[in-house]
Formats: sequence, structure tokens, C-alpha cells
Amino acid sequence: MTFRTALRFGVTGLAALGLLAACGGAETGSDDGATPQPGTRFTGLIDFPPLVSLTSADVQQIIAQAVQEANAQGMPAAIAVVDRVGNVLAVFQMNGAPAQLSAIAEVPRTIDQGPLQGDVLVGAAGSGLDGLVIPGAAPVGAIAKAVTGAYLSSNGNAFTTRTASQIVQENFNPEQSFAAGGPLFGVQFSQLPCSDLSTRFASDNGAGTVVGSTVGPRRSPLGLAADPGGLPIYKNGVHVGGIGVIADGIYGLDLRVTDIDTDAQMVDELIALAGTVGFEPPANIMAPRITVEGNTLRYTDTVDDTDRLRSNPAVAPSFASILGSQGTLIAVNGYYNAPTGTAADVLPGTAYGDPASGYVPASTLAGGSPFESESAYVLVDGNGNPRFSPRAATDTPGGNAANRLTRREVTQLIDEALGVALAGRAQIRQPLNSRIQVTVSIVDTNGAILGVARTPDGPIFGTDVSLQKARTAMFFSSATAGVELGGVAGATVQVPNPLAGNALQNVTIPPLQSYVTAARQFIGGNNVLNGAIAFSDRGNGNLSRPFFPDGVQEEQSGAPSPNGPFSRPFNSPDPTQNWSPFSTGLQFDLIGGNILTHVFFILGLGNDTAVGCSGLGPRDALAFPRPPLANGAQIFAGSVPIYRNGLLIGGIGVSGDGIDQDDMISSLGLRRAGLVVGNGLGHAPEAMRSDTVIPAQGGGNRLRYVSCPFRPFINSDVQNPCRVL
Amino acid sequence: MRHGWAAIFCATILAVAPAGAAERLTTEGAALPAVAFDKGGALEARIDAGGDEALEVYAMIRPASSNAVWMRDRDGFWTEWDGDRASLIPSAARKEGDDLVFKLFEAPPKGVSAMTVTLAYRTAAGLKYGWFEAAERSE
Repeated sequence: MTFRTALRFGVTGLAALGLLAACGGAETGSDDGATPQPGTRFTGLIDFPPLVSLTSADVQQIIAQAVQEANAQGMPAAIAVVDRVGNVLAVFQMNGAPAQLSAIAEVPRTIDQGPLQGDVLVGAAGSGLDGLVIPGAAPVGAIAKAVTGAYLSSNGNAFTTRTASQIVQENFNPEQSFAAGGPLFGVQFSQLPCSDLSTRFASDNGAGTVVGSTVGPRRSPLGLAADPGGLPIYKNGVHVGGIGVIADGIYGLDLRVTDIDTDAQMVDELIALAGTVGFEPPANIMAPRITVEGNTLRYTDTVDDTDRLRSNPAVAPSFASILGSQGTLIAVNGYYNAPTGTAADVLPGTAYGDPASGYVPASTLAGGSPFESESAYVLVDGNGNPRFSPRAATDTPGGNAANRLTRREVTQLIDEALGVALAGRAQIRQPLNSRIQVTVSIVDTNGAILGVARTPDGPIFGTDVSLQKARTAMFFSSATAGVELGGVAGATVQVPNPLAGNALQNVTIPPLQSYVTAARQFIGGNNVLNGAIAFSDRGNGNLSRPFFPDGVQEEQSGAPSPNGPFSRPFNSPDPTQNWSPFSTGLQFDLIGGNILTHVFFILGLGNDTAVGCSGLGPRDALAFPRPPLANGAQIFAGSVPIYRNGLLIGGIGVSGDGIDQDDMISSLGLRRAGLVVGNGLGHAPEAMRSDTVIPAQGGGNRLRYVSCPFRPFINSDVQNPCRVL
Repeated sequence: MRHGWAAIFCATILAVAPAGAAERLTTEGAALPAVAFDKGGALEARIDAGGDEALEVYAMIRPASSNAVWMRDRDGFWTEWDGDRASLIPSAARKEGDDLVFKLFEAPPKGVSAMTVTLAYRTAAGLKYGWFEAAERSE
């Protein structure tokens, strides 16, 4: 567990690796900030990541190095290693390692100014995952942390679970009053075990998505982790996986980034760090070399990579010598088998870009690429067949199938979005002037997946998140959103606490009607969640933060800033209602039951959660027999709803770079596709957009719709291309 | 239909048994118990028509790994379905008493080991349908 971090100044070297150098192609940016010209997008070819993978011997070495450090720290650990697409390659449980996993609860946060000045409780037992003590789940937490280290990183950025902690809290940086929430606020509830995009290790009682293969992206048992101790793994400078460690039994987060954790507070991270010695990212892409909104990101709490290690990874014992004597390989239901208990159970990883990984260049498909962009990557199944090729919609918007998105329109939307991305300057990638790398998803109003494609090296997390974003923008803009949410009953789930004589812990999930009511009171009137307002994910995100306006804690009419109606309050008189990253509000309450069901399954206490998240029912089960938010909701920017002549027909979501970049790509991608194909395809009418809404209880502040970066394109001086929207 | 966590916790079904339990289809769509089939093996599904006279029957599968939707014609060939009810191609089912038995496949389509199966029939009053998850048994 850790609660502190310090600036990391020890990274040296400015050598640009040039992994992502452009190789030509037409550039966006000739529009002078006026109407973008369709067809001027970037269409050139950028470098594809090299095919590099972890061998079984690599994984054994990483574990042996971590075990040696755990022994030196006197903290036996559960250690998990995954490849870049989330395949679990080994789970090693040291003798004496904690078995149970405790989620963070009741942590005081000090507010130094404003109406909440003083100690405020963040989270509380009984709210979301806060305070849960889950028997036998320590390896589950280790897997989630390993997946996070792998998924947040790429060949242009190396992020850890400590980085994740920094960017998911109520302010960015955490504790910085009046600063907006973390740019990836809510990303912790992605890659969910119920996702209909993420793949599963086994058929799991008939609910599997891709069975018996290694294709990713794999789901994560608890979503993404913010507890330091999850790091990416690189091999010869190429991103190949992640390691996650639980030694303290705590699944927490770093609430304070301005100081340095003690060894005891960051033992998970030190053990993971030892594991990655020899498998580090290039220094110039590590988090401290990347700034967002003026804040330097964090990688670990060390000054350099090894200064606080108590062991020398170079002299780690062999894996063969620790297997059995120091611990064992253990099976984890739904993630990893250890049938022999020998080193043969340690698996090699897939090479990202090889069909076995589930990601390939679209140009290598047997039928050829459906996209104009030569740089497009797509998802494939275990036989190399495309998983989410562009297809026509399944719905009948306005009661007329002629209004639905066509295959050609879906293809054009993705091509335009990829073109904007590759013309743009990345926020989170090094070297500077690297191109943006993201995933793009398109859905119809049933939530059916109409297409998913990506640039070559987008972080893996953006695959699932782009789909969440597309669905969220579509769902909350639809005429039946309020009715559907209002139909989801609440529940109380009970979990035995092994540390308290198996006393039952309650996890209470409220009826979702409470959020609908709150939204109508907050915005004013009943014309909310009924299709009258077009919600981008930025606008929806404004309503999902514990402060409104985002990050601002101040007096409004004699009272502290209100929470957004889709968020838990930050300082409730009833602390069990308090917001925390483990209990965000509507976002968590939509899928909390899926996570708990899945954890029980892992522990052998029941069946797995179904494919398709949330308690919502399908909209048209014949056309798409899954909930419209089938992989959960996402509440940070990067998506817009799609309209045809003012009629909602779908959503486009983008994820993988900065949120302003994601916003720009989704909104300009839609704008440009509409200009190319016509047929009324485009944005919501201006009068419907969420940035026209000034909530009645919002202190006179309006919601937002789209926000674009300054001078976003490489080789162009266009300042604000989004002003044409 | 009212959905909620309480219902989901109680009905996380996913029966690992051959298709055979006779369930009824409904006009708003019925979520049916999941089934498992032998690796590379056949899959049949039986539903209770409840006295309905089925004028046409339909069978669709959605491979769990992708966004494709295929419908089975009377001869057992699979054709992509665009989601439009007007373009549904009739399939075949044998009648056993009041049950309709859909023979879905002798062996699953190549590369498809988990899927969502949708069964439907049309009566004079309209369409009734239901769906279930089907997957090869874990080894």
C-alpha cells in the first residue's frame, strides 16, 4: 500500500528513439481552422511495432528477480506476469504471502482550502468496492495490476499503476484544489470481466468470448488498478507485457503524489521494479518525461530504477531453485492454469501484431484491409479472422431502417478518425511530435459494435475504453436512457470477511433511478435523459465528477460545490455514500454486480458473470441480445453521439491519447465523414448539445461538449480545428 | 421488462447441459439458459411452442468473438444477416409434439467455439424469439 509519491527527476537522456517517425502521406491542416477538407487526412504509413515477445525463460527470470527482492524486503508476495494483450503467463504465490485482498477504505484526504478545508473521508466501507476484504483474492489483485502495467503503456509511453493512481482521482494532481479531475477519471472501471469485447481465458460455463486461444485483449478481474506495484515490461526496448505484485494484501491507491513513500508503503512497487530490471522501458518514454496539463506524470517512487532495491537482480537465483522452495505456481480461475506445477506451466507471451495476439495490421487480412489507411490495425480471432470489421447497423432509428448507419459510413468514420489521429501530435507519447495513437469504435443505438480499428501502437486499454465511450455517448443521448436506468433495481451483496470471523460485509448498490432523479433535479426539469440533450462523454463526465464544476471546491450560494448527479458526493453526512475511485457513482453501480459475481467465480463460489455488463436489458434483443452498455460506461472525454438529420443513430469513441486529442479525433472524424458521405450524417444539432445546458443547481456553469488541443497537428499551424463543429 | 441486480444474481443460469430443456419464446425476447456442447460437436435446441402455430422459423448465431451475425437457411447454410427483420431467411425445425427442435449444426462453424444463438418463429400474430449462449465445453 502506498499513499505518497515524489517527482521523479532521475531520468536522463534525450535521445529520440524515432519509433514512430512519419513516412509521408498527405497532412491534415490545410483548412486554416475553417471547414476541414475531406480527403486531406494523413494516409501515410507509420512504423509498425516490431514482433517481440516474452519467452518462458524471460518470465521465469522476472519472477525470480521479484521473489529475491520480496525476500530482501521480508514481504512474501503474489506475483503475476502478463503479455501486452493480457494473457496471464504465470502467477507465483510465495510461501507466506497474504491470501486475502483488502480494497482501500476510509482514507482521510486533507483539503487545504475552500469549504471542505480539513480532513475529508475518501470512500467508506459499504460504498462500491471500498473496504471489501476478499478471501483468497491477492493473486487476483496482482493480475489486475499486471494487466494495468501492460495496457496503459506502449512503445511511446511507459505508465504504471502509480501513474494510473495520479490520473483517476478527483483532482489532477490529487489534492490540488480547483484543478479538474484526473484526465482518465473512471478508467479503473474498464477492461471489465463482463466486457463483450475483451476475451476470456476459457469458456467459463458457456460465457466465453474467444475460447482456447491467446488472442487479446483479455479482460481484467477488477478492472484497471491504481495501486502502485503494476509495471510494464519491455524487451530490447519493445513493449511486451506487465508485472503485478501484491505483498501487503492491500489493493489501494496513491492519494498523495507530492511526497515519497517509505519502503513499507511501496513494497509492492519495489518488488515489481526488481522484476523488471533488464526489462525496463526506454528512459525517454517513461512517465516522468511526459506532461499533461502542466503536471509531470509519475512512474515509481524511486529516484532511479534501482536505488531503493534491497537485492541485486543481476544475481537472482534461478527459477528452478525457487519453485517449490519459495512458493508455487497457482491456478486462478478464468485466468491461468498450472496443471503440472512445474516450470513448464510458465507460458511464453504473444508478440503484439502477430495473429496470436489478436491484433494485426489490417493490410495482412486475407480479404485485404477494409480501410483506406495503410496504418490501420484490427482485432482478429484465433484463426486470424477480423473480429469487428465494419458492418451496417442493427437498429431502426426513428422506426426506419433507412436511417441506420451503413457499412460504408462506418468505414468512412473509422478512416477519417484514424486520419485525424495520425495527423495529430500526441499528448502522452515521446519523442515529442510523435503521432497520436488510439483506438476508434463505432456503435449503433442498440449498442452493437459496428467497427473497431486502431493505429499500430495505441495503448491496449483504449480498445475497450473507446467502445465504452462510444456506447456511453450514444446511451445517455438516447430517448429511453432515463426509463432504462430507472428500471434497474438495487441490491445488497454480502461477502464474508475472513479477518473478522467471516462476518458479512455489505456492498450496497442503489437503484439507478436515484441517479435519474438526481440528474433531473440538478439540470432542472424532466427533459433530461430522454433524448432532448446530446451528451458527449465530456458532458456526461461533467455530471460524473464529485465536484461541479469539475475539480472546483468552493462556496456556491452558501453551500459547497455540488457533486455531479451521476457521482457519489465527496463529503456526505453519511460516509457510506462517499465518492472514491472505488465507488464513482452510476458508473460503478452499473457494473458492480458483475465484478462481484466474477470475483466469486474466481474463488470457486459460483458461475462467472455473463458476457454483457450492467443490469440493463437489451434494447432489441433480436438485433443485439446484449445490454446497450455491454462493456460498462466510461466517464472521461473522447466520444460524441452520431446523428443523421437530427436523429440519433449511434456513437463514436476514441481512446489512447490525451482526452483533448481523443475528443478531437472523435468529433472531427464524425464531422469529416459526414462531409464525405452526406446523407445528413454528422453531429447533433447545436441546440441539443450538452454545452447548451446550464444546470439549475450548477452555479451558472454550463456543461461542455468537445474540447480540442491547441495547434494539434504536426506540420500545420491550424489552431482550433474544432471551432467548425 | 424490469432488469436488476437482484434478478441477475438469482438467475446467473448458464446451465452446462445439452440443449433440450423446452423453453418458450416471447414477443419481447426471452433470455434462455446457456448450454455447452462437445468440442467440435453438434448442437440442437428445443423450444416449447406453447400451442403457437409457427409459420416460419429462424435461427441465427453471433460468434462471440466478433460482430458478425449469421442466419441458417433451410439447407443448413449460413448467410450473413444485416439485422433487418425483413431480410430474415427461414430456417427449419422439426416438430415433436408441441416442441420445435432446431438442428443448428453438426459441427460448429470453423473457428467458432462460443456464440449467442437466437431462435425465432413467426406466427400470424407476429414474431417470437429468444436467445442463449452456447460454447464448447472446457477441456
